[in-house]
Amino acid sequence: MSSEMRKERDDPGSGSKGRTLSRFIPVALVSICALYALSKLRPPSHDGDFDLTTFGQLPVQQKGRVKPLDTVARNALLVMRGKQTVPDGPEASYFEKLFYGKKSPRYLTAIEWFAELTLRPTKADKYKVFRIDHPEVLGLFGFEPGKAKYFSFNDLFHSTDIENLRKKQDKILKEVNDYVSDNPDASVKDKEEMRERLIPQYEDAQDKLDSLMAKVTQIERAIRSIKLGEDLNRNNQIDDGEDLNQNGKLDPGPDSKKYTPYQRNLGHLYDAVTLYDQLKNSLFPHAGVHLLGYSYSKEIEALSFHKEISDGAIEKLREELLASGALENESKLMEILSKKPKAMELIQADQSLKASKPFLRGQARFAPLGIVAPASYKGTVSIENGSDKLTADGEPLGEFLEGEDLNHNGQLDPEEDLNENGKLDQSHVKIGSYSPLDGIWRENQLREKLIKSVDGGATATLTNEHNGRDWIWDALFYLSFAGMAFLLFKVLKRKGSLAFSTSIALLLFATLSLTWIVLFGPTSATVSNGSLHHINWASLSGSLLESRADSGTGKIDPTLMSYAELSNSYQDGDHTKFNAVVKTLSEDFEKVAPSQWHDFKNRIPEHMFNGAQPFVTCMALYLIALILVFLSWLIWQEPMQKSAVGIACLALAFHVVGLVVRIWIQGRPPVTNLYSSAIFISLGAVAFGLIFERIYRNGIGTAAASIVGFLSLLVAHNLAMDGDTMEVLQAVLDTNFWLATHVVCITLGYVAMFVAGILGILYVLRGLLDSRFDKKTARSISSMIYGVTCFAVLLSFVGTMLGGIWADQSWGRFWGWDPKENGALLIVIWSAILLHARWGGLAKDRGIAALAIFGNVITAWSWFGTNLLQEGLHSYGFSDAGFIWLRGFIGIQLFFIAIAYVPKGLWRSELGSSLRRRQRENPVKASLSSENSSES
Amino acid sequence: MAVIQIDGQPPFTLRGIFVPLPGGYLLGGLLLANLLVSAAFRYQLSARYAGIWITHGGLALMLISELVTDLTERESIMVINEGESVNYSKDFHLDEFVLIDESDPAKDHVLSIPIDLLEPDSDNPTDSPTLDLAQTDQRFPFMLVVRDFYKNTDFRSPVEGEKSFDVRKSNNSKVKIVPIRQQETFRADEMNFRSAVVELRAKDAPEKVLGEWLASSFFDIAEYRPQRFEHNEKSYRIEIRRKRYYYDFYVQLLDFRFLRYPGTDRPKDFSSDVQINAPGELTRKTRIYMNHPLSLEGNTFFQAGFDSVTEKQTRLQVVYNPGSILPYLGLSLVGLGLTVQFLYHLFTFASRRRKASS
Repeated sequence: MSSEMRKERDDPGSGSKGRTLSRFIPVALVSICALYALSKLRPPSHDGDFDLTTFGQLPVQQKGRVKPLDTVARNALLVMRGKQTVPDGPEASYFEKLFYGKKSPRYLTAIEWFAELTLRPTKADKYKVFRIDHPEVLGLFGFEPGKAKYFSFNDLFHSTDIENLRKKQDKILKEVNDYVSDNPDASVKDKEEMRERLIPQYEDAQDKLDSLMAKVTQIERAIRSIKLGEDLNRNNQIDDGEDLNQNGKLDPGPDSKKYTPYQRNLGHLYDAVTLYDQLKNSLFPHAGVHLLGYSYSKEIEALSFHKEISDGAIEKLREELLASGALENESKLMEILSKKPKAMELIQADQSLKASKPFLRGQARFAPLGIVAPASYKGTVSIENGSDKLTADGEPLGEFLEGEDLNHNGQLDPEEDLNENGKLDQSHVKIGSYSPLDGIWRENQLREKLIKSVDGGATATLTNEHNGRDWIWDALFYLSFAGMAFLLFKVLKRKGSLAFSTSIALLLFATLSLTWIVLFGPTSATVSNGSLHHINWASLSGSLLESRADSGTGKIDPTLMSYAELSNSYQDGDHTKFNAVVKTLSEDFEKVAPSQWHDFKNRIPEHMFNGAQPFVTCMALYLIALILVFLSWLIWQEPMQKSAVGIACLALAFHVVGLVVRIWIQGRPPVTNLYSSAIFISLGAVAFGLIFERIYRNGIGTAAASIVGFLSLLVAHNLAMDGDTMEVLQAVLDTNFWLATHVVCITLGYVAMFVAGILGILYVLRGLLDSRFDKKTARSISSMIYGVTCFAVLLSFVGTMLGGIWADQSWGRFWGWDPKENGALLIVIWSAILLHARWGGLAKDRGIAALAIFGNVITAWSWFGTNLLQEGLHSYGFSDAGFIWLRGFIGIQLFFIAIAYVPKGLWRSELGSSLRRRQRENPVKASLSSENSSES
Repeated sequence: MAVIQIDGQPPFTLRGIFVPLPGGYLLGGLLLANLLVSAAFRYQLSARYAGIWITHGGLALMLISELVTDLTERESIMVINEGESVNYSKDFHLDEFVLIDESDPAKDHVLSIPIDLLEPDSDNPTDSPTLDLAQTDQRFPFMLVVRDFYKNTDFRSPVEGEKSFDVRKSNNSKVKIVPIRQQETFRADEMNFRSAVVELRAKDAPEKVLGEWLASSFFDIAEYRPQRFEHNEKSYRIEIRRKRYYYDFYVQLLDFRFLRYPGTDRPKDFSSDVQINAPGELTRKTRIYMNHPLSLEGNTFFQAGFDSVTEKQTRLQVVYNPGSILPYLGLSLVGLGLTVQFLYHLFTFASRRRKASS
């Protein structure tokens, strides 16, 4: 049956009307999806008059990276709650909404919640932000398993109740004091009566308080006991001296596997609660109950006197008292103090601030956010390529010598090479010319050296004034990109339309060029990271320490005061003032930071990127495309298939833009961690699939594209729960060259393997179930598997060998039989087996499909399994869930392989039906041929 | 043996079922044999097969290179404190028994005996190996008799009347300890502390026992001092320690630095500024840091660790790998072979098309 005839049958309303409709449907569907995707790009709006958009763009430093507050808020919510929004009230399920007419609560965006948390925590403590799943952990807190999943800080630690009880006690004490001071002549009997009345109340409150506190302490102890047994250091990070083995990889350690799920869940909750508590007091200190049993009331008191303290009022007072001789005479001292307004409080504030010093010092160590930007260094050091000169503040420093490093240490040493003004000491620097051949790499190395040299404490800012960069090298690279794009165009043009080939070729060219510009281009990230990246921002407690009159500057930083004003105006509901302060604060940051500071410049794109969530949109679009492809195999072939291809292309475009923006923000090659590898695999698979679609035009390519695209993004989405996806890199990975070559090659190898595997599954499923699956399509799938496996073997081999060279350069040995290395090797071996089986005629189409499906298992193991072997300590919960998912995935693949070997006679498609027909004609001959074919 | 089986370790089982795990020699050998056999029977000596010959030759070379690495590579660790100069590195696993003559004020004279020689024959565990030390080095006129050998040891204080050994702690206080035999461990995170009770006799009067001493690799890392004795007015030290490899040059640690990402304990870079002092050469300074090891006389020194408390001690891993060039050769051959094959196909394809069009 030809495809023309089948189309007629599929299309009941054939004729001109049907044709118009079949042309109209794809256009309409793609347009709707495009509108949907574009609508997601709109920045999220915030209820109320507070300018939370600007608030969300304020820069802070967290975990070594400068990022907008919005990112902090979203990642914190993901870690605690697994979602980026918080409901304002009790949530309603779909069922409840449908049948009981319950209304959904308002959902706060991450930044709205973050504003509540940091600026007005009494309310935020009631939002249900902690997700607890494990029944034993629920039981620890006295919650009934199965009833609720989300809990507020107050639910867990009764912070509001404790606060209320304390207030009540204070009120009683005040009443007593007032009574005594107002009625100095009160009789003993009256006093007695009052005591009898009030003491039981006070003690009652105390009892309740004690029991609550005992409960909280018990829970805290339970949680801490788990954490203490761990090998993690203070910041809950892996200690590299101890836990990394000689390859710089995580040493699983003896006990990593011994944690029970209960302990892991509790450990995760501990992390979430600590993060919550630290973030709460990261912008402004709040009174109230904290996990550490400390309230910031002293700091708040001291802050309210900041002006007096900064003006040296204390010193003046002290001098005055000394001069008058009041210090020897208590009554005289009291007399003088009582005449001076606020003097007593001032002294108290100063003293309490002093008393809090050890606490602040401790807090400064743990502080999650740096909020005060460092003062900038005024001079600049720049590399002028045209003249091969290094200049500091416009003065030449000398010339680079080929093969020789800057100084005897191979680097600029801030202590030695920067003079007392923080400028480069020319006598220490030898500089020479470098040949254009290693120009670009050399220049980047040099920049890295310069940056490394100044982050030891000196505060030099590096700018990169590009006068006369070697344009010829840029030109050569662009030419080669254009060449690659042209080759791709030629290949596609043979089978596909002009428009399609042009757009894909242009897309390739754009992606390569953009990556080139971002990574190695004139505004190179490595240089312009500058000092913001490498110098500690002061945290709230750190800055408070610095502002102390006795040891520090004696002045409270204006940033701190601005955040205090923000908190006050937010609590008062004064949005005009809030908006004004936010605006000034934002502008002040701009003044401190020169525009070339990469992190800083990127906080606004990052804020937009967070809001747009392009990969979530892509995930939805891939799912739609997938459903349409499946529909096309059941009904209405042509319009559904066209729509699916269109939507997949649309999603791919979004995906590319999203990835490029990520690369730009991070200043790194596309793959830096598991999360980004999933994003990249998804993108690569879709690109492969769509190219196949263009060549064979039978929906198979689109199906493979959207399946891998969707599933891989789903994996990425779940990996994002661990926190910041653009985290800074471990020391050994801090090299853009190997990340851009070795890691990208290996990941592309994964892509090719997964595409081949999915094609194998499609072959088996359609062959077995779809009666309209013809031999031509089957052959095309087989060719696709072959082609993509050739890619896989090439990419994996090159990637693995590049890894070997990296290892040899870094550790003096090419190969260490490390699990990740073995995983990569497995992929090379498996794809080589597949190819040899085909060349040697050991496997025919069905065998090839089964081999390709098992490739999925190998690749998943290499991608995740080896990491799971090594992780353990690194992320609680994930390894558990990860192992279950991995096992499930492997089980499903084995199932597909098993059903591939269902006897051909039972296959519903043409692959089996021809056999059945022959069987009817000549049973003996058919049974012989069926044996032959099932050998494959 | 081809199947992975470490001496003394129980065989690998999965839920009680013995699973033979093929080891590297078996697998690598089979792969190599496969390559050779297919080359012998399948590849023709023609231009068409040139690429295949070269590619598979390269693969065979890579397999061989891994064997060479396995047989010749030596990994050890060099621990240096800031300011200190060190000319040796310690093996990760192997121990050695040493007798040190401390009488020369200029330098110690060391007699090193591989630990295996002390181990009694497994067929005859009551046997006491006897070694004539003077045969190896005239400076040590002793006969050594191994009275007891422990593959892994724990220590405790003696109960009354028990035979014990006097050991000095690093603060010079004297303690009595008794070695306890322990099961040998094979876990990556545990160490075996090998110990030996040895008896020394003078070479010239073999009947006279000079004394019995206890040496243990436990003393090497714990705060115990090795046992000492005097003979003919010379003082000697007995130790079991990690096997040391000595170099012609000294590496001096000038400064160790650990850069963190701001606001975190996450490492950004580790680096050791070292000075190389080699006899007859100019003293030179260099820096060893992440991804940038130091290569010296066939050894690669890379930054492997540090003392996380003081951050004033660096640990450099030293890799001696004479076969390091082989994988590059193999790799180049594979690359060349693939290119040749590709070009061959391209040209035949082009000429076929030319024929078809003409």
